[in-house]
Amino acid sequence: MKETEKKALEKAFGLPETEHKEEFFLKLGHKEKRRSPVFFIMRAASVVAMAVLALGLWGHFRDSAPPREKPTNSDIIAVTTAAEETAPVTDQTTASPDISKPEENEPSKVQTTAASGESPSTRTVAHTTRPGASPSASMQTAPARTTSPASKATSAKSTTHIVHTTAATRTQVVTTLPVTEPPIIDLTLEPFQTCEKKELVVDLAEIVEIVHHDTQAVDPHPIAGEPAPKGDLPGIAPDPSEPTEPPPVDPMTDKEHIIVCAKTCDTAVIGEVKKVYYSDLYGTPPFTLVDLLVKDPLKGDIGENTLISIALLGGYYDLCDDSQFDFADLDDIYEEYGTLDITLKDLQGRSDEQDPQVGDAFLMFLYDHGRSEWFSTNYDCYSVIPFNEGTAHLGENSFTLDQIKEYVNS
Amino acid sequence: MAIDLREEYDKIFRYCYIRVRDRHTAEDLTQETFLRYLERPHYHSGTKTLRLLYTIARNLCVDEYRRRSSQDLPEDLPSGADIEEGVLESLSLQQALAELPYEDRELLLLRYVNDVPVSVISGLLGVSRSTVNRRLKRITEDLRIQLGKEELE
Repeated sequence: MKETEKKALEKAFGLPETEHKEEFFLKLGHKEKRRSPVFFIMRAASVVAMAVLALGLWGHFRDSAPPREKPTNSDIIAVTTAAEETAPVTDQTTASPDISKPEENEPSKVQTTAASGESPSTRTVAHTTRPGASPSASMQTAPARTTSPASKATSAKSTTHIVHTTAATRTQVVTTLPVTEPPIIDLTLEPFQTCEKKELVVDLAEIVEIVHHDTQAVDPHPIAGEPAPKGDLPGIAPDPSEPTEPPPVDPMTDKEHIIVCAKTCDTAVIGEVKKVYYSDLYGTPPFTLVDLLVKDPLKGDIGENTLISIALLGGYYDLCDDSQFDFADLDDIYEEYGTLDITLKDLQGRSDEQDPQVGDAFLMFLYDHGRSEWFSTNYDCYSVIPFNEGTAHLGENSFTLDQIKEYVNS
Repeated sequence: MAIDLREEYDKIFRYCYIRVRDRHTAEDLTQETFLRYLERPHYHSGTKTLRLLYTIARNLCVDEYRRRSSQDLPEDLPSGADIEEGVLESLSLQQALAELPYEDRELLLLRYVNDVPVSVISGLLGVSRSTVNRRLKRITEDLRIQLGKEELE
C-alpha cells in the first residue's frame, strides 16, 4: 500500500488526537525518579537477608556435623592454582604444613592424586605446559596416584592431605584437605570423582584444540608444521614421522575485516542514505537499492557530495501492490505459494523491517559494477558498516575515521 | 529496533480507540498500558516491546468491554459527528471501512496506520504471517471493490 493510501486510510478512521500525552510522560518521569530509592532499599534488604541466612546455615552445619570417615566439602582448606601454574599437582604446596594446623604426633601419610590419564584434566594440564618446562611439570612424571617421597619423609610429623585435581580445560584446581582419621585415606573419593574412565583415550585433535584455547594463559601458538610436544602426553610416544594437524586459524578480527575490505574493494566511501528502494519484483532475491550521498570519499574516484546508487542484497520489500510480505521461514512461502522455487539462499538477509532508512550513515566498501540481471546500478555493495558520530561500528568494536583512513591507505 | 514510546503512545491510543470508541476511555487504557509495560523491563527490546504493548492494550480493552458490557459499547465506526471531523474527501472510504467487520478494521489499523510489523500482528492475533498477509490482501481487495477501484490504488 502506498503512503498516500495509508494517509487516506488513517483519515478515514477518524481517529482523534490524544489529550494528556505530555502530562502522562511528565508524571511518569517523576514517578520513575521516586521509585528508584525504593528499589534500591528492597535490593539491599534482600541481600542482607540472604547473607544472614547463609551465615546461619553455615553455622548450623558446622556445629552439627557428625564424625565422618571420609572427608567432605567442609574439610576444604584451600582451593588454589590457576592454569598458568605449570607445577605438577604433586608439588610442595600440597603438603604445605602451614595450610592447616597439623595435629602433633599423629602418624600420617601424604598421598596425592596427581593429574592422571583418568580424567580430561590430565590432557589439559599436560598441554598447558610450556615446551621446555621442568619435567616435573609434565604428565609423564605425574602418575595417576603417587606417594611423594618428600612427603613420605616428613609423614611422621605432618598432617595428612589429599590433593585432588578436578576436570577443567583452563583451570587446574588443587584442594588440600586435612583429615584426622583414618590416618591413611582411601583415595577413591566419591565426592570428588568428576571424571570417568571412559575418557581415558586421548584424542590428539582435541588436545591441539585445547592448546589453542590456552595459549593466552601459558603457551604461545605452536609453530605451524612442527609436531606437537607429544612426548609429554601419557600413553603417547612421540613420533616425528606422524603428521600433525596445523593449528587452528584465528577468525578474522574486525580490524582485519576492514583492512581486507579496503584492499579488495574498488571504492570506499562514507555517506548518508538519501533514498531507499526495496525490490518489489516477484521471484527475485530480496535486494535494496540505496541512493547514497557521499560525505567522505576514502578510495576510488567518487567526489564529495556525489549521489550514487548502490545495490544491497537482502532487505525488505513489498511483494505486491497491496500486501507486504516478510518471509522469515520457508513454511510461510510454501503455504502462500505452494512452491519453494525461491531458494533459501535468496531468502537470507530478508527482514520485516525497513533497513536501511533515509538519514542513516554508513561506511561502504563497494565494487564498481551492479550486481546482476535484475537491476543495474553503478555500484554493488561489498560491505556495509554503520557509521555515526564519527565512528564506524563493527561487531563490538568501534573505529574512528582516522583509523579507517589509516587502514584504507595502508 | 529502538521504540519511541511517545510515538507508540499515539498508536496505542488509536488502537484502543477503535476498540472502545471513546476518547477518554481510550486514553485511560493507553496510560494503563504503558504503566503495566514499564513494570516488565525484561520485555523492553525489539519486537517484544511492540508485542507486549499491543497485547496489554488488547487485554485492557477486552476487560473494559466486559466491565461496560451492559452499556453496549459501540462496535461500529464513529457516528456522523465523528465522520464530519474526518476528511470529507474520504467519506466513501470511511463508509467502506464502517461496513468492514471489526477484525478487518483492526488489522488495517495495525498494519497500515500504526505500521506494526506483520510478525508482531501475527503474534498478537495468534495466526501465521501468511494468514495475516492473506487477510490484508483480501481486505484491500474488498475495499477496492466497494470503492469502485477509485481509491486504494
